[in-house]
Amino acid sequence: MLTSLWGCENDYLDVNVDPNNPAAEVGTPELIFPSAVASTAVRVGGEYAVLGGMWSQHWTQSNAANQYKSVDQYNVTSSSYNGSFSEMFSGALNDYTFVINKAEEDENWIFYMMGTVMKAYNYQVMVDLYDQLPYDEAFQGDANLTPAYEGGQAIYAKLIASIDNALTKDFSAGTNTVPGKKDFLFEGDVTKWKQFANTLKLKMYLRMINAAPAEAEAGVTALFANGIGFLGQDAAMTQFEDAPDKSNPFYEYNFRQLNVATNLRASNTLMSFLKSNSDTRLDAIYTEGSEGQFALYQGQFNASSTAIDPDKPSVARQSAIEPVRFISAAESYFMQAEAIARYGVAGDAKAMYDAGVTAAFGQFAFDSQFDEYELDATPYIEAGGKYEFPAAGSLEEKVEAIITQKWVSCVGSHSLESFFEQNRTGYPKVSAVSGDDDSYVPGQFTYSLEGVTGGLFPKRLVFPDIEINRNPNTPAKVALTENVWWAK
Amino acid sequence: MKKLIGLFVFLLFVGSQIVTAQSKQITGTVTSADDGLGMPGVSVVVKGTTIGASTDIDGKYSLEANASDVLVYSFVGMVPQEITVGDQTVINIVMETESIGMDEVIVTAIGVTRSQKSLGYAATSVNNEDLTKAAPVSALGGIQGKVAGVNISSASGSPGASTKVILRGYSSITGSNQPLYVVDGTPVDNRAVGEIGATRSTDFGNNANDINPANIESVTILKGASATALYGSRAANGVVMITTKSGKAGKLKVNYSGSFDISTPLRLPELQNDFGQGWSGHYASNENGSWGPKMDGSIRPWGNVVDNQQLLKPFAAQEDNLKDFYDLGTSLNQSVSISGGTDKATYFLSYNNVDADGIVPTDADSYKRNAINFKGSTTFNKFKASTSMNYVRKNAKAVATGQGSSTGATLFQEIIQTPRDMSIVDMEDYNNKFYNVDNFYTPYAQNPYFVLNENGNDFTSDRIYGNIALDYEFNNELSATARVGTDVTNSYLKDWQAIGRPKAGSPNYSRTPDVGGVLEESRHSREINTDLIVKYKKDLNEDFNLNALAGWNVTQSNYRRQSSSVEELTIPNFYSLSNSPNPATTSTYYQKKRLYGVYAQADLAFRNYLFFTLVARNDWSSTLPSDNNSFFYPGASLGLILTDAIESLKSNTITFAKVRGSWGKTGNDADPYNIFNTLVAGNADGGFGDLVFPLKGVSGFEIANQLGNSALEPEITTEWEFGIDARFFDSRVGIDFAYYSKETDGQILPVDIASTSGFTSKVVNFGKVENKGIELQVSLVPVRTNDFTWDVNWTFSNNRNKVLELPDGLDEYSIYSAYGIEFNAIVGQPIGVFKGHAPLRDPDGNIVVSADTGIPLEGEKEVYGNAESDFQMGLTNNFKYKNWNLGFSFDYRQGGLMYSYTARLNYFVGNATKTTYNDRNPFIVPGSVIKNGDGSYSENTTAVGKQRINEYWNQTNNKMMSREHVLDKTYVKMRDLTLSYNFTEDMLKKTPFSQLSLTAYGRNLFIWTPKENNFIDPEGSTFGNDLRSEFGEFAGGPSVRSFGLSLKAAF
Repeated sequence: MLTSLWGCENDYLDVNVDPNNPAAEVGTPELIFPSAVASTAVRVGGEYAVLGGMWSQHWTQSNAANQYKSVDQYNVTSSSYNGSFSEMFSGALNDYTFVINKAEEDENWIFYMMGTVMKAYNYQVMVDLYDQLPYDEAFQGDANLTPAYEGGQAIYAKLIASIDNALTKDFSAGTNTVPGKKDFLFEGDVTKWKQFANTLKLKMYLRMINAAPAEAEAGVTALFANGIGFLGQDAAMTQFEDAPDKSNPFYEYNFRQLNVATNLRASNTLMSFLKSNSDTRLDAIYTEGSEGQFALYQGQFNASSTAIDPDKPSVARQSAIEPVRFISAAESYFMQAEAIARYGVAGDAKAMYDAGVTAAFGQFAFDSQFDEYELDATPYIEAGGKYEFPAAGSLEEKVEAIITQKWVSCVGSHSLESFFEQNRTGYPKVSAVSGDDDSYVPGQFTYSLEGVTGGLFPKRLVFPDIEINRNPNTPAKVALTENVWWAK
Repeated sequence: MKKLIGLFVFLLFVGSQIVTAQSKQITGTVTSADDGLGMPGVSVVVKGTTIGASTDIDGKYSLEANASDVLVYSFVGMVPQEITVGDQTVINIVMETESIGMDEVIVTAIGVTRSQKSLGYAATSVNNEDLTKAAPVSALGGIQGKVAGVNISSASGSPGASTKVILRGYSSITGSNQPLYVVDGTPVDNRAVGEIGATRSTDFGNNANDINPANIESVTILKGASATALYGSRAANGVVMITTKSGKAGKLKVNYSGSFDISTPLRLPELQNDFGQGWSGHYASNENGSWGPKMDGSIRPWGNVVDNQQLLKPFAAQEDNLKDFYDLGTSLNQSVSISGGTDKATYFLSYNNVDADGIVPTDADSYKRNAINFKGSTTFNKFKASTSMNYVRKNAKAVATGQGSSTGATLFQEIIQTPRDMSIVDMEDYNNKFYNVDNFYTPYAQNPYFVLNENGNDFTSDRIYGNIALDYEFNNELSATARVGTDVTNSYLKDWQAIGRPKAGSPNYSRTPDVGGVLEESRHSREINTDLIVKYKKDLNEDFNLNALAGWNVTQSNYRRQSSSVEELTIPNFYSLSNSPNPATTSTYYQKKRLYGVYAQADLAFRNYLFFTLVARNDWSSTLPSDNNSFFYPGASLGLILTDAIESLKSNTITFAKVRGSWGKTGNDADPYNIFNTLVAGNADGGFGDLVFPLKGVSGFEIANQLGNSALEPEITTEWEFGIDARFFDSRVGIDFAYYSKETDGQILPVDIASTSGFTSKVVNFGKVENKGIELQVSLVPVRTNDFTWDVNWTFSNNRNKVLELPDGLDEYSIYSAYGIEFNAIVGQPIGVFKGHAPLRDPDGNIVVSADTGIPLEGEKEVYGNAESDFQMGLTNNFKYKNWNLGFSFDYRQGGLMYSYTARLNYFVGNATKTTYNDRNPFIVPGSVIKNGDGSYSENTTAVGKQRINEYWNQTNNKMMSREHVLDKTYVKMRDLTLSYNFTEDMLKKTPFSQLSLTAYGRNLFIWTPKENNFIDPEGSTFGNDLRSEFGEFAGGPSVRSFGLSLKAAF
């Protein structure tokens, strides 16, 4: 050793290869894809789901705690949601990009498509939240540390094109590897991935009905004709167990990790709807308070403890093993129902609607704790039932019925979707009167009692500080209450 | 070392005794005031002649002199004395250390001893006496306030808490700013052990705290680049050189020193005493805050109804409920040493025991240290072998600070959330049915006694450090040294939290249960340092002397950490990794780093008044890209003693004057593993809680969020300094002044990048940080008589830090952030700018409030100020009267800001004094306006209602409250007060003692802070001991004052 030291040979100093972490070069799609999916799930089904659930008026902040006050009063600023933004880009999207690039190199087309579809899904969520984002210049690492922004509509077009391109690949080529359990969604079932791709495109085309109606109609029509079909099951991550850092991210975030697990209480908006329809899902969605099922009005968190005993309002109910549904079966059916009703494409809108409501009632089957409830949709959708499809009604009546049922079906880790859909369709409607007014229609949105936005509902997120501070290309701040490009 | 030189002088003088006929024989003994022992080699000269003698090994001398002669006694580093012979024939002399003497010998880099006066840079020494005066457990504590330009603070009042030492400001934004600690020539590890941050942090101290102050001969602090360059890249932030005591030739000596002290809280939050339990202005028996009605002293039932019973108490302020919670801390620190030797061999063996228990009841904050130290040397012909070896074992328990987690709560956070009308000590019996987990009065906080008794930790560490050196003297001019040093630490930590699960149906059932948990962690660190040094010295001619050295160094450090934990326990009170339904989470980390360097130094002295030094080092580091891993840094310094160069300058008024100047560079390599991109184990970050792979049998990896950099370069600091050192009026006034300016270029740090690039950070070299400052040390001896001496020492320093450049496109870099407060580096400002929320303002600057609530709306964030102090001062006074010694010192730090979570939480729960503003009646925010629908502004008429006053003071609802959580950290502290008595030799004659002294001391006796900070001791931090510690504290414990007695004895 001494001689080599005297000789100043570099071998002696060659000890800088990290023994703790493998070199980036050994990464494969099989290795990276599962953690990218987990990154998407942990945020879309976690912190964003809390946001979505409050802004969809499933829940409101407890009057005995503080955690989500700023969300419930629409006081969300650039200092909020930095962590989620970062995890979605550097955790999920960058890893999908790696999977896509590596899979393309290896002609590993199944992973190529899986990566492409998940990336498109993830992007769709982020674009719907932020309206403008980097796309072409993103994920270049050193080559571009300050990517330029593009409009949401342009990104939508690119996402659809990327899916179309991925669908043309040869999934039976010998260069494909078998995803198996590494595919948390479908265990590598190519047909289901194609249906997921088709359903995702359906969602994006339906989003465009206000901003680009012709394109939306043409796109939807083509999807119904391409023979791929749509999801008949959840596209979801289900690999959760009731253990720290292994469970449903919404459960982990709101229940396990907070010292007060009762921040989220029933909002009168959803509870009044469920109660007025004697909906049996009520007890599966909320844990009873000290005097049975009881809701706070949206944003009623300043009610004093003498006015409302903090133990009285029902608490949001959640299971540690609830799947994170990226697109649920119910959502797929509701979208098909809407497409049929809207454009007259082949199919039966009522049948699809009924399938959607049935799937929505069936969403609790994953956990035996919900077995005790009578969760059968049949009495609700049959003739004369509370949720009977208005087959003879106007298009707007049909759409209202569909979107309202979708709104209820999204409670939990999927709630961001109902927030988006309310912005797109205006359903559930916004109430003209306050929640305690005699003429209040159960299920209609009421402005947060502590809202700070002058009566305007939130429509998007503002760009986060971590992006504003580090990327000079970040567009100027747009108010929280401004519509995104596709909103109604 | 002084005495070795003395011996050398003695040899020179042996042959030169001259006997004169008319004179008489004078005999006597010269003893040292330090230890009362005879001093060999003291020169005794008849003034104005070359006639003289030197003391022998026992300090005895004899010579012949006339009655009219004046004898001059001198010895390097001691105050010279002149005595007129008169009719005396026996003259015994006690020599005092020359506290401000210029002939002081100082140990400089690589163990080179030089006389203080020849240095071209600032170097300050603190000797054992000053260091141990107030009996600190850590040597670093003894330096506080005594050296200009050194910022030393203790993280908390807990025994064994880490000590922060920063020399000449912060240079590195994310790297280490720690000085290098060198003990007897070998660098030692100064890793801090513990967890830092906002959640459950523990502090088990840094390794430099292990060094027993009683064993230290001197501490020298080298601050500038030209002084430290020889030590290589780790010395870029200065060097703290510690020389430990050695055995000395002579008979066996036994020394004992022991101290015992008690401590009490120094600073507890000052709280309001008007309003009691409740929220939103109403009484609520289950609230953890004081937002209720005014306390009226009436007897009220409180807490939960249990078995149809409820407790009663007066609704009145418990003014001292915090103080009452704490008990007396104790600390016993004992050292014993045996030393001695012959002129061929010396030995020094010591044992040190520290047993301390802090002010928190129980032994939850305790520290035990057992250390053995051996130092020895032997000479054989031209060889000399020496060794210095230390073994230290520590056992410690630390109270966790910061916030609790799902596994369990933390103590101080629970204490803060106590309504003002509640006694804490009354709840001590946490199994009592009213105070237990099920029925404790509130579901929002935990009984602090449960947290204290049921959660805890055990830390042990075994450490061996030291070196073996071999010297060979070829001839008088050339010598060589080979030295191998090592520092090995193995430590083990077990940390646990109990299950705290309120039963179904109990009043606290709504609280998320504490599921309990266990963590076990082993750490191992090892460092090997080898130096080979060749020294050459030659008197070139009558005018020039050369002193040169060249060396080669190789360093390797290894570090390993293995940690396993489980969250959620099955069986209560059983703390094992097996006791959980969940699999254990494990992690390991390994690190290896190698570096070698070559260095050289040449000192050239001209006529002993002009000194010129050149120094250079080249390093090769494993952490830099292999094709570009070499870096070179030179330095030069110049010292000129004006009073020797121009003899006419020298007078009784100007005793001594020196100017000095230096310029130098130091280089610093990167941390390991920053060159290549990697994958990391799959861990999807969910904000609160994650998704950690493997999941259902599937493993996952992700692309690391940090981009590596294959073009990394070392960071280079360039520094120049200029100084004046002068003594006036017979050396009774001394001034040592230094001005320095340094710039650190090419900082290596992970810069945050936009996550839309796919990554969140990238390791880059960038930017410049500048530190400029002055250091001033003034020493005065206002009175000096035979019996009475008064010494004053005043230090002043200020450092001006400035970030000169950040990477392209960045004008701000986030160092840390918590609860809406950012701690940033901003171009043009000192590192560590606090930025936080501010109210929305109209164009005229008025605060805009919500028309509905009257509470200010949130505006853009604004800069509050920065963490840097304007200046700091230390003042030490020492009075010596005969055998009595009285000393005290003050420490004053002016300016700078820090974050306080203790303040935040006290505002949140309504305990902070300011929250009684307007007697908690509705008020309109002064000068506030509302924004109208048309964009105009009009005067606000909406008062903040009674039920919203708690929201006004709560940062979650009123963002501008952030400003109240960032405090001015100015303080004045009485650092120590000591009174000691030294027994004289006469008094000890009939005892076995050769030396005995008793000291009563107090440390941190009092603190003054500005009014706005009535919460915490601003010296504390829960964020470690580097730059991030300047962020502030997160529910940290109180600092302490201590009183004690110490005894030093020699046999």
